[in-house]
Amino acid sequence: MMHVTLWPNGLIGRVTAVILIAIVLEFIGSILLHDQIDRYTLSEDHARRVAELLVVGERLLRDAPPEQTPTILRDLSTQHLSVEITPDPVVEPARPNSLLANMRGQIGRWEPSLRGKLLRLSTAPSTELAGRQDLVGSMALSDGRWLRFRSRDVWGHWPQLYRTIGAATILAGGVLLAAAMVVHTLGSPLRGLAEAADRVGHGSPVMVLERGPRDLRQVSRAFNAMQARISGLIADRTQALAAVGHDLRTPLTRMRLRTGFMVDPELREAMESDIGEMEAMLDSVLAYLAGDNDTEPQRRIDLTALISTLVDADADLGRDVSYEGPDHVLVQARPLALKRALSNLIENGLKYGERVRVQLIPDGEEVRIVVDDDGPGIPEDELAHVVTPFFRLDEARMRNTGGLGLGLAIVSNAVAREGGRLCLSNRPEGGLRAEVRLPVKAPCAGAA
Amino acid sequence: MASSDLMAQSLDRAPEILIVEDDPGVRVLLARTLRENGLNVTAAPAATEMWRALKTNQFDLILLDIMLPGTNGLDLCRQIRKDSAVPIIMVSARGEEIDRVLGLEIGADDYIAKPFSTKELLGRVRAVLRRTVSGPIGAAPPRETLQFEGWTVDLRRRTLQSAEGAEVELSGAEYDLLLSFLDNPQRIIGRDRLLELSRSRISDASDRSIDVLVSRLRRKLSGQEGGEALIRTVRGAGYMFTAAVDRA
Repeated sequence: MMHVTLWPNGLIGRVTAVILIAIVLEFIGSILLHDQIDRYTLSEDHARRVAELLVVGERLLRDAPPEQTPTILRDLSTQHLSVEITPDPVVEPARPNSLLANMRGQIGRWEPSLRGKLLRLSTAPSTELAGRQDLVGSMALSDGRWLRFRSRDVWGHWPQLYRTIGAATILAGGVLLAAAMVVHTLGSPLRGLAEAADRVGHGSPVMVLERGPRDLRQVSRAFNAMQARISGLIADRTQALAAVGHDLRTPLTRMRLRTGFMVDPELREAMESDIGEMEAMLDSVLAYLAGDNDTEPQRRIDLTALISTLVDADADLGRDVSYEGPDHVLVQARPLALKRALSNLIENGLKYGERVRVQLIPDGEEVRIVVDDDGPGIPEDELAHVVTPFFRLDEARMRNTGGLGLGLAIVSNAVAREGGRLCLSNRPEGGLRAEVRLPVKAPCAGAA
Repeated sequence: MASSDLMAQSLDRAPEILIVEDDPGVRVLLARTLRENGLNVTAAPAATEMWRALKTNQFDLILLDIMLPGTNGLDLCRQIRKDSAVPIIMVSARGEEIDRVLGLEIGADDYIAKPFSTKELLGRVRAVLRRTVSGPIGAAPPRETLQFEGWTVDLRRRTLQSAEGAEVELSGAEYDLLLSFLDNPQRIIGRDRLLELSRSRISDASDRSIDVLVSRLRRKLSGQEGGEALIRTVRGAGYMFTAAVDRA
């Protein structure tokens, strides 16, 4: 079953909806009110007209000779109200009707002398206007005859109501439009704030223009201050971590040089491998921290040459890494950051598998760099998490492969800064596929 | 060690090395490592001592740390370059490629990042000594760029740019090989000679590894008209770089 939500999502939409509902309610209410007032005043007009006719008619007919009766009746009749004499009350008894009862009350109030008279009231379809109702009635005269009258179109006030509704609708529409525009203007700083909040954490701080009503200006100011505090905090931590990272390099250098004097080759090799691991960790932390503050400019580079250099270096170390693709693919990118990212992907593949195949596939406005390995892959439910900084799969920990779990986070950040994206999937034939899609032409100079 | 012979072979004396390093531990270990490999070492903890040593002594190489108390190693390098062409290897704990590029741009001969291994250190020292000793001593690199068939080699930044203006990444060995070709254009170079020229970069140096290296370089230089023919194989003799090289 389709579930349709008419309630808008945006604040401006909602405020507009509230205004719309208010206007519609007011509109309906006022129409009902007007209708009631109109009905009352119109029916009172009728009642008075009828009451006066009955009083005057009765007096005239009582005092005049019978031969003058037709003349009197003709004189009394108007376009809206006709009278005649009938021997019987020709009024069909009407169903009890609040309108008729009301009419009877109004007649009695206006002409109290009529209260004691025998008066029958009813409605009949209009003879002249289709669909309308005439008020018909008979009153007993003192000589036993009945004075019958017909007042045309007793409830007829609809044309006026329609006119009123039309005018009111146009007015309400205008008010609604004006209100929506005002709300839209009021809401624009709020939208700016929302957009800014959405971008926070994806690069440099996003300052919001302090404008709009006072409360919104306050919110904007608080938002900017909060951002300044957060980026200050992050900058402090980053600096502290980077300083530690840099400073650790000096003792590591000493250790490295000391291993040069070690006699036992086995021990020396073990030490060197430990130092290498520590160095790799430091490098990954520093690369991760450098991330957005990287000042490296984008350059036009030959992607094939960059990948070949990485692949050849691994091949020289006796690893099974191959490249497939065109001899030259030019892109706009930061070569050092991109080289580190692609190196991370290849090293990752070699860490978990034996064989890594790198493919370069130009694809319209993009170029796809596909890095396939023959390792165990990543459990499907973990795929989304592995790019999270410091995230490590349990297996990786058990295998004691080292690293801080920053490799893929660095790749993801570096690729994002080039306007590309990283996509990880498990290959049906086994192993992990890391695919980097880069735009051939950089959309702009980037965040840096 | 074989390396000490190598280093001494071009000079009639042991090379004089000046180490400028503020960390006492690293300074002592560096000095000891280099001494054990047949080099004469003077160590300076800061800029003042460095200037004093430079006044009294003639050095074949300076190992200059980038982060020194008071002065930046990059500034020191610039100052030394004003009136001396003594080979300089910058040493940095920041390990950032930007430092490397900057160091090379202001006239350092090489760059080494902490933490380096003894092997890496000796390799770099040896390579720089051989380059400057075999060339005219005390001369700064005489040119900034080399050009051939639309390609440009930036000797300061050690980069290769294609005719389309794209930077083409080369490994250290590939770059050295390319320079060997560019120094001897339109001449046949034997494998043995190439091997000798590239020895500092290739760990297992053999005829086959030179062939592999040449084929990799060829591929990176391809894609342009005549690109394949830039490095021609001369059967039984070696290789020849066919294009004319413009020294700008």
